Parts: sequence; C-alpha cells; structure tokens
Amino acid sequence: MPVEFVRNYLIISSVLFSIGAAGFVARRNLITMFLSVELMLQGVALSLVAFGRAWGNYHGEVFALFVIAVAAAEAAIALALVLVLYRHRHSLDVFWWQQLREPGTTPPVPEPVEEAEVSTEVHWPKLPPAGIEPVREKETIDVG
Amino acid sequence: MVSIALVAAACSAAAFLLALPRGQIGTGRLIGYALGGVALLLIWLLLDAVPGRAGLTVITYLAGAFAIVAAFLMVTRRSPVASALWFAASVVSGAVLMFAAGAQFLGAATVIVYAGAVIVMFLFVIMLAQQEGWAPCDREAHEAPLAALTLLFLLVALLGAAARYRPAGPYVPKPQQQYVSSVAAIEQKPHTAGLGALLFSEHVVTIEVVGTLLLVAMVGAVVIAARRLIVPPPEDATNVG
Repeated sequence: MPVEFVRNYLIISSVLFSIGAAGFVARRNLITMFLSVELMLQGVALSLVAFGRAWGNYHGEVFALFVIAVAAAEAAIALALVLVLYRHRHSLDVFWWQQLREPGTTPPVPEPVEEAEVSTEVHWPKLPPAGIEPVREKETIDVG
Repeated sequence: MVSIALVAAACSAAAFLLALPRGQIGTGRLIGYALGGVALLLIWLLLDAVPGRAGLTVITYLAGAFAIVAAFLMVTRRSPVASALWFAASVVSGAVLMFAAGAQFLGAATVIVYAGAVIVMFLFVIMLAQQEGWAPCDREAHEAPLAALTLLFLLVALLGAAARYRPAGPYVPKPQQQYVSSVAAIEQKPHTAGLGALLFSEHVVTIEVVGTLLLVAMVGAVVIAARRLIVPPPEDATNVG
C-alpha cells in the first residue's frame, strides 16, 4: 500500500476525532454528547483500518472490529443511563448533573438563555388542485 | 504542508465557534459554514493523490469530505434528531472509506452496527426522552470558545503530525514483527476469510471476552433502564438553562 493512502486516512480520521472531541465539550444535550463520543470512536476505527492495510495484515482490522463491539456495548449502557437520568429531571441538560465535583467548589451556573421564538402556527402543505371543482347544486340549508 | 495544516486547523476552529448554536439564529452561523468550507478545501489540499489508483483517490476525496462535513453538521445542529441523522451519514461515508481500503467486512459491520442498530437506538431514546420544543440545552452551547480552543489544539497536533508523516520507503514488516506464522497463508485468502482465520486462531480469547462484554452490557442496560422510577418534574425545570 502506498504511503499517500495511509496519510489520507490519517488526516480524515484525525479531523473526525477532533470534531467529536470538541462536540463532546461544547454540547449540553446528553444524547448529542454520546453521539460525539461515537464519532471519535469511528475516527479511530478508520485510522486502525488504514494502519492494518499499510502493514498488509489483519491486526488493524481486528482492533477496529473490537472498537466497534465495545462502542455498541457502550451505546447500550449509555442510552439506558440517559433514560434513567431523563426520568429523574425531565430534561436532557447535562447541567442538571453537577454533583460530581470536589467539595467546596461551586458548580458552574449556566448562562440564562433568552426565550427562542418558537412559532406555534401550523404550516399545512399546499396541495395542488386535483381536478375541476365539481359544480354543486344550490344547497338550501334550512337552519332552524 | 504543515502551514496548510495550521491554517486549516484555525479555519476549522473559527467555523466551529461561529456555527455552534447560541441563542437566536444569526448570520454568524452562515459565516461559520462558509469558513468550514474553506477549511474543507484546505484539508483537501493536504490529501494526496494515490499514484496509479485513480478510483481510490476519487473515493477518498469525496467520501472523506462528506464524512467531515456530516460530522461538522452533526456537532453544530440544534436538533438531536438532525444530529443523529448526520452522524449516520458520517458513519456511512466512513464505511465507504473502509470499503475503499479493502476492509469489506468492517465496512459492512460499520453500516449494520452503527448506521443501523446504534442510530435506531439513539432515535428511540430521543423519542422516549422527548422535550418540548427546543430545549435550552440545545439552543446554547457550553463554553463555546473553550471548545473551539480544544478543537484548534487537537487539530494542530493531529493534522500537523499527519501532514509530516513521511515514512521512508514502503512498509516491509521486520522479521521479528511477522509474529503471525500464517500471514502469508492469510494473505492468499479472500479478505473476509483471512480476517476470520486470524480472529478465530490468534484472537479467539479476545472474541470470547468481547462476546461476554456484549452480553454483560445487554444485561446491564436492561437492569438500568427497566427500573420504573416515577419522579415528578421539579418546579424550576423550565427556567434554568
């Protein structure tokens, strides 16, 4: 396998890994944080595949296979934990879980978020007319 | 090469900072996406054409770019459902890269496990833990400048190291590194058969351990999630971000 091949894969996988790490730090939704972790694992698996092909044997792919298996196990456990945490607080915000810190330190206070303009009006799809409007006879509705 | 890597890292970090959700939707988001496009072009400059393998080159460029774009959108979109779907897109293009590298079994396993099972599980959890509207935790990033700094440092280190990666000559395993006695025999087989032969000869204990791990994880997930715990929502759940 040529050198350029491995280099390309290393560059792509390092970008994926970095984006995943930064997303884990930046996002506050528990589900998005776990998705970022999975992205980091995916980047590492990609580089392991490239290394394995560069060496011409299957050991890199065996590693990547085990990474995928461990990621699946981790996703199962993590999502079960997310469900339990959601049942406690009725929110997916990670700021609700700040008990794990050193004694004496104050928890970081989330900045207040201004209320977003969530539009509540319903946009119905505009359907094209399906044909000629039928001519109805004059209806006489006797009210009363 | 290294200077291009540095500029690409800086562009990516700035794009990440601008595109992160913060309060209302503004024009900074669009500038962030534009900067991300610039960073992607710079990363394309870092990639090399593989000599004699035009198809592999094209696939690497396209699938790699799509994997990176999807990952970026996954991290910066507000809705968790959109994040999950962009993650699936990124993983599928990663699987395309694995196919291009000749790792057919891993590519298929990635599509089945990640884009199939894991994403469906994520969507189920999003459905079960449905919040009304856009929650504050989706609308506001946490410590966005520090996170962008993290991205900058990681990209400088990793991209800089990858751009300088110039091994001398082709890879020839040293004799003492050919610890698999049957490497030559494995290489003769088709790909998946060779991988299976290695898995079930040398790594058979690891296979057992990983299988046990999956079983334990399944039992643990059932035990954790099946516990019925009805907690009334706290009164101040809505006014704290």
